[in-house]
Amino acid sequence: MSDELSPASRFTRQELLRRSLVGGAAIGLAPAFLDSLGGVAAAATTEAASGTINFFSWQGYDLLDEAALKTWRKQNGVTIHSTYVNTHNDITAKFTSGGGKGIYNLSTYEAGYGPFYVGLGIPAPIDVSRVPNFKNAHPLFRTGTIAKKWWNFNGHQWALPFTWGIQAVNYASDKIKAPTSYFDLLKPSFKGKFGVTDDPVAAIVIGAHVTGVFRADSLYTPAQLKKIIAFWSSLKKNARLIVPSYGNMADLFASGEIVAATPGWAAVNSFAAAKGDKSVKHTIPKEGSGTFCDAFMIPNGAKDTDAVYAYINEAFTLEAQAQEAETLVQGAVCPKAVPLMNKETRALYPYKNLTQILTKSAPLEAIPTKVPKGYASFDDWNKAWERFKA
Amino acid sequence: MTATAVARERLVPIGFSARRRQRLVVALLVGPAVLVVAGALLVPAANLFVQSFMESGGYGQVTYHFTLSNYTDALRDPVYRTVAWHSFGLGALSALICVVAGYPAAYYITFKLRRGRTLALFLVVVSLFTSYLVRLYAWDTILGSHGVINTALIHLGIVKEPLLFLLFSRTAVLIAWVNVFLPYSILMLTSSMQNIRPDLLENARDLGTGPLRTFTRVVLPLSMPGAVAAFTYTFILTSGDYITPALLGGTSSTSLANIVSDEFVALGNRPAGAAISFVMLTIFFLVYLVLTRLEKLRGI
Repeated sequence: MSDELSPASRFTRQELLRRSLVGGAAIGLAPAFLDSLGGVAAAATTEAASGTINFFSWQGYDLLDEAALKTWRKQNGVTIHSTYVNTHNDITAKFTSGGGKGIYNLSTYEAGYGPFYVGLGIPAPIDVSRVPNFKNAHPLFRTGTIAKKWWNFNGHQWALPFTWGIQAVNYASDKIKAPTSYFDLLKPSFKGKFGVTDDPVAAIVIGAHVTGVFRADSLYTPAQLKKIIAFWSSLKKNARLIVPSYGNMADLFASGEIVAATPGWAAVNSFAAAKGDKSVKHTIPKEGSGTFCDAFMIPNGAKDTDAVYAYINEAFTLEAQAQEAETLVQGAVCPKAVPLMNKETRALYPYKNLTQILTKSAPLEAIPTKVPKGYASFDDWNKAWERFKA
Repeated sequence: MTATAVARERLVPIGFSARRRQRLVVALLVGPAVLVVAGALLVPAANLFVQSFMESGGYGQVTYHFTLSNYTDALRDPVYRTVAWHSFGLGALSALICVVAGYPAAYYITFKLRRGRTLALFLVVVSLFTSYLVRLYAWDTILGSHGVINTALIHLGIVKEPLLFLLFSRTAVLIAWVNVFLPYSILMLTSSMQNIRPDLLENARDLGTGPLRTFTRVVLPLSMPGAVAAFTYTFILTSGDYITPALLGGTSSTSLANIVSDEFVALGNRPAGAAISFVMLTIFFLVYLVLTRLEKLRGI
């Protein structure tokens, strides 16, 4: 199939490893630098509306720590009440069970969940004219192939992508060297010292790379899925625990209970640093990684959306994008924000080859919600992962 | 008409009115609780019960076609059976430990303490003031690799490496459960023992019965309702616990409650999740019925 990638065409491990090692040093350096950025970026302002944003998504995606947004919230009287999720499934469940509709007015979804969520009626169409700063985003995220696949389809803009990143392995750099292969975790020296994160999508994408069956559309036969789960089962036998959430992963690093965890998330570096452990870094083993891109969505039935629109618009200013990249150790979607980043943050991701990377070399994690006969569905993934944990 | 008949005729309306008034008082007293229980528990439970016999229509959707497959799947699936065995087994063990460990404390508080009884009960209750989640996280600092126990053992030269099984294992889950539910057991046992007349114990002693025999022949049978209540309460709450196995259970962490959560949250399969929940509920009822039956069979 044309979507299949040869290992050679992937985002090279050496390149990402170099970038993540350099970028790891960025933590703690940026605030002073970013404070000096005032007034640099071009930003269109919407009529700011005071109000309350009830946010339901990942820790950090409410952009509470970004200086530019802190100031903006204070100036505009916008308050954010955040509830953080443990897994992406929490978002699905919250907005389909009746517990989230009308309560939360801002959430996010990972690219691959787009068609699935629209089918479930979770996001409301977004009026892009109310987010003029979205024009700062790279065309790939606005009108490119991935935009039409995940965020802008059926004649509507369902979500606005604002950050992207890589999922592989977090490790304690003061205790171990960066694992160069996922199979390193099977060594006796790792026995009882690492965690397997409860993130089935990232795990299955990573497992597909490891077992050599990866394909961009995430269509795997039941036999391939079994092979992927078998790989994770072998890791589980050597692991200390199933890590229930990325927030918990940061606690485990900070308390010294684990020295590595996979699937990883670079943002955990920041979470752990905030808990006093600045040694946590993120690395890409040679087999590959998962790639994600998260987008702001306004759930159906959301109230007080004036404040939400204004906040989303502000999140696409170049300062906010540069600061978010620093805080979350993730990629920005606005190319003009890159020069505003410090050297280390800028070096984290290969911004010059964005289209090549996110469409070919390291395509975004896809969710197989509608599959041809003979392939494992998203239900099969979740079922297999449930059994893996049992 | 006799005087009695006249009196009865006059009294009937008065009695009828009194009964109505009494019913009204009962309705006013019990009504709010009934409304809350019916609205917040029975109606949703009935809804889930109906859904457990329906088909899943995709994530979060229910197709109203009758089927028993959710129950047959739940009962036949070997993975669910293994997880159920672990959940109920560990729950029963923790309940047993709580009851056995709770007896001496409850006995001491009830029969030995004279002035400090209120203080003792307060100390038992005070441990419940802390959030359940906070207490679970606190176990990290006690059982963890760099926790109090491992640090002490290493400093004393008893072990060279931290004992990893203390945290992120079934042992850790068991320890946390006993810590959380022991106070409840002590309270239930104390409450039950307070109904035992002290003169029965004195009579037993007067008849030459030793302390152990007094306990096994007098205290234990008479406090059995409290023991059954404490065991059942702990067993139900631990076997159905979701968060402790997830946070402290390591790689053997999955409980039946985690499976239920996965069915609802990850798979969006409400009928399957509901069916497993009602299988669990049935087991809890059976355990309760067996224990109360055994208690009655003993003639207590």
